[in-house]
Amino acid sequence: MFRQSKWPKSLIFEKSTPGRQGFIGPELHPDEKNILEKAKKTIPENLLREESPSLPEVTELEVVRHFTRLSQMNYGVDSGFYPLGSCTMKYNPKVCDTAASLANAQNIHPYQPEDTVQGSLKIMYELACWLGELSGMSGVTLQPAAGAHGEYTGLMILRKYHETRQNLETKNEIIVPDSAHGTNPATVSMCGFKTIVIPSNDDGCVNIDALKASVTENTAGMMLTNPNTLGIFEPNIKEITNIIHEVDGLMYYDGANFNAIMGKVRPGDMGFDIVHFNLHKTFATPHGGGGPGAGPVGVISRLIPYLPVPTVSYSPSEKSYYFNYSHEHTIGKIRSYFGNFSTLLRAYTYILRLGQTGLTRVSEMANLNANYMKTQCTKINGFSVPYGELSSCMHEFVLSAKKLFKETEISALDISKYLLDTGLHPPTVYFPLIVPEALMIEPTETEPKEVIDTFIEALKKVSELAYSGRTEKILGAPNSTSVGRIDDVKAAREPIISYRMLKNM
Amino acid sequence: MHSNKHLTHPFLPQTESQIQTMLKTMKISSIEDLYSGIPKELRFKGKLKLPKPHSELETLRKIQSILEKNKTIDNLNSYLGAGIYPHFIPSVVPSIVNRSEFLTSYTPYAPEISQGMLQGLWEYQSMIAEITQLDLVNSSMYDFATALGEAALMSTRATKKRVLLVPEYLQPEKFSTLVTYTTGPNIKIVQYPCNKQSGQADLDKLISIVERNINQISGIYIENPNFWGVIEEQIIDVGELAHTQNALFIIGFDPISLGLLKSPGELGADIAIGDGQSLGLPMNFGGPLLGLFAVKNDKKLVRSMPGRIIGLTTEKRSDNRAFTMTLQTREQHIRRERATSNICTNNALCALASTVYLSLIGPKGLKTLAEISLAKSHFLAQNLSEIDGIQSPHYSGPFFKEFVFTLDSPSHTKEFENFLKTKNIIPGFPLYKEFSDLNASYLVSVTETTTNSDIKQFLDSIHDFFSTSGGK
Repeated sequence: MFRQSKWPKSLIFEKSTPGRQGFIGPELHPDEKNILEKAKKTIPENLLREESPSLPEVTELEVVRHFTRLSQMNYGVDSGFYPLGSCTMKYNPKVCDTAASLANAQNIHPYQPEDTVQGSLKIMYELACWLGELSGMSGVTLQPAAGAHGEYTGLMILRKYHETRQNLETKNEIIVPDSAHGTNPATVSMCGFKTIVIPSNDDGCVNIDALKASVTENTAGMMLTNPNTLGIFEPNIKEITNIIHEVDGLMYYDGANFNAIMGKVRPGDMGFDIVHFNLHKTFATPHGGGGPGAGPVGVISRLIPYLPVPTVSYSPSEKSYYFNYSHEHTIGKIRSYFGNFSTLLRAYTYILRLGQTGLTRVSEMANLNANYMKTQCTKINGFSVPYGELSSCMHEFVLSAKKLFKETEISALDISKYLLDTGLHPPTVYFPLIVPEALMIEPTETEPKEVIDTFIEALKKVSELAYSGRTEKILGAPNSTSVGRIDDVKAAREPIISYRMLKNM
Repeated sequence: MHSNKHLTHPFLPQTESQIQTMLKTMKISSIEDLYSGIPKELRFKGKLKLPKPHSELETLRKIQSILEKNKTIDNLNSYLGAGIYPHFIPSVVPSIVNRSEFLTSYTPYAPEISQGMLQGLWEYQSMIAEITQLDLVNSSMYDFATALGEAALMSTRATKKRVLLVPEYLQPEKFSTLVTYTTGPNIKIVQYPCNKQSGQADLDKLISIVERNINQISGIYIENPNFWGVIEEQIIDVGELAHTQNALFIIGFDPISLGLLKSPGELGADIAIGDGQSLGLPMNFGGPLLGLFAVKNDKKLVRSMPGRIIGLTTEKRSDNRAFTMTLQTREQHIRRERATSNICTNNALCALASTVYLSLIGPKGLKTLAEISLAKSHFLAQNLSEIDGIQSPHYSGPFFKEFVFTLDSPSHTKEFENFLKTKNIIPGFPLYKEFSDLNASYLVSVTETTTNSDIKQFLDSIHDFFSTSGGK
């Protein structure tokens, strides 16, 4: 039976004992020591800190034990099944961590001369080529720090494209389907465009009539995830990209669901112009409880001049890699330095492990697992798949507990809390917004059938309990986690977001 | 089109017979049927130009052989800083951060099963609040440069004004990132200069810039220490100037310096930003880093903050403490096009690393580290000043762990660097490549990882250069 640790929730600050120390610095050389007081006197007294910050005073063991206990109150892919839809929580191979922890990967300053970083540059150069190959794009930047940052980079490229053609005055709208991730419209606003939302069809795909009605000379482009958030491949994708291209709009591919299609179909061949990848999804880099990730962006050849600088190039004559700053219409910089290198290296390692055949197989097995789960879940009383019930899905699907909720008052949220007690991470709930009582499920390719079956059994159990009126176990859940249901309303009403605020209450 | 029927791989668990069972359950005959929804003409028919699958052993061999072509900072006598610093990382930090319950978890959307990460991030917010003396901290941004971009957007949201004043003397890529971030919302960036002697903000010129932009200024940004490593002696006046304009006062800081220097909160900041890389993160060739973002406790400001925020609350059924993501109505997944930012994935694990780091070093350690850098940089600056042919420090203002030195003869930079290169020395960040009025200057950074014998070797080599290579 699953039972998470329930350590007392004392804060590291509350473990502090004045006089204890977890660190000793290296001793100064006598010559340096002699200069310290003089150096301090150069700083005006009113700019010197009078009171030390109230950081905890604890020993090494206390630190180690505190955070070890915290880790025991956390749950990762290594702990168990994590079918969090749209997040692609697959196994993060340990060999990638080994590679990323090598000293000659980590201990490199970004301003070192190029001839001292040829290894890192080669990794970046090849990774960019491979991502281009997988997506059918001609140029790739590795700089974006996350998926949303990739979206930002992509739309800034789109913006600069219209600006260079002196069309930015009219080109001020981006079309986004109603099933899109929230990052899409948020990015549109950050880049100074207006979001035009179009409704989905009954089958969950883009409504072509609605699209045609929304496309005008103001259309700067469209953002689309394909397969979409419902796990459905847009059958009319070529028509969609044509409609946008006819008004000189650009097509943006949100790569959140790239895990479904590797080796099978490429965004470039569908007519997309700009693509982002989530390395922390498709390419198995660990998500670290919220990041860091990496969101490289690929573009078609005529958009290469717009990429952020620098990219990495290879000079055959010099036989060396170098930073290429010559992108005529570059959008400039979107962050400092060149990208989240340790994440890039992990993805590089992952691609080496699987290779061309392996990556194609990854997508096949991700889709197989998702379709198997979908088939089994729709058989359970109270659940349905409102979009794409009869056709096959790709790597994920959105289950609705609408019927269950209507008939038993057990909601998607209740289900997710009950699943916690079975030692399973719940799916994404209440997204996409167009599915009532949504449970968005993505098993990924790395889970064995036995684990997937455990999840299906747990859902069956929920249904049985709900329909037989034995709902206390569901409504009282979770009990096996380190805390029970949480008072979010209180958290938002009286925000306490630091120890300083807590002390002052 | 090719289904790799017999591929077995350690990451792919389903056996051939399980696959058949699953297909049967779905009443289809092959995996290929799952792709029937994709129009045939779009299907990829070629062979991807990707490497073949490698075993773990082959993979590691290959990666090691590639990375061997790098030269690590451990094998160089390097004075590079300028935003990223080679600080020592205690063994406890990677040991905790690599615990896979943290490493392999997602954003804590299911808070009951993710209390460990949530508490860790709440403690992160708390520690940054302590060092900055500002109450509100988000649970991380990507890096310093994007934190500046977000601070610019926030100051316009909070003040409804569109002119941001920033120093001319910023790290070039930070400035370039700021320009990108302010393009969409059409915020005007106006740069103010420094005094060429002191290397500090030229207050008179700043005041006249303010006067030319009355009622339009959303914020004034300043760094302390600034990009030259110099401490801004009139920083409090700059803050007051911002507040007379009802503009936000934004301070960029180096977290290690706060063991010694007055905090942004005490200096009057509304927003404080910085990079947490110094707090236990490897340099990693420039990423991932840790964007620090702290804000004064003000109801209006908290609602316009970007990024995720962790709150302390209780269980519903008891008064037991519990942590959860909060104030999410600012964020993209709820507010969509009206969100304060599009940020979703951030740098949570880096934030956790800095929490472990700050827990270890404590208030005394932070002070010690700040003093070590101060003493060592002053030791170096003073010894450089004794060499004919070098002006050190270039600016007269007080400095912390970085300072600028300048060769008297601009024509010698290439020779100087090449000579030092033969001794495995990198003399610092070549400012002359980015700032035309500093035509033979280097920005030098010194931390606790720089030993006294490193410094002596550096000084000896410079002496050699000027005496033997005709440097004069």
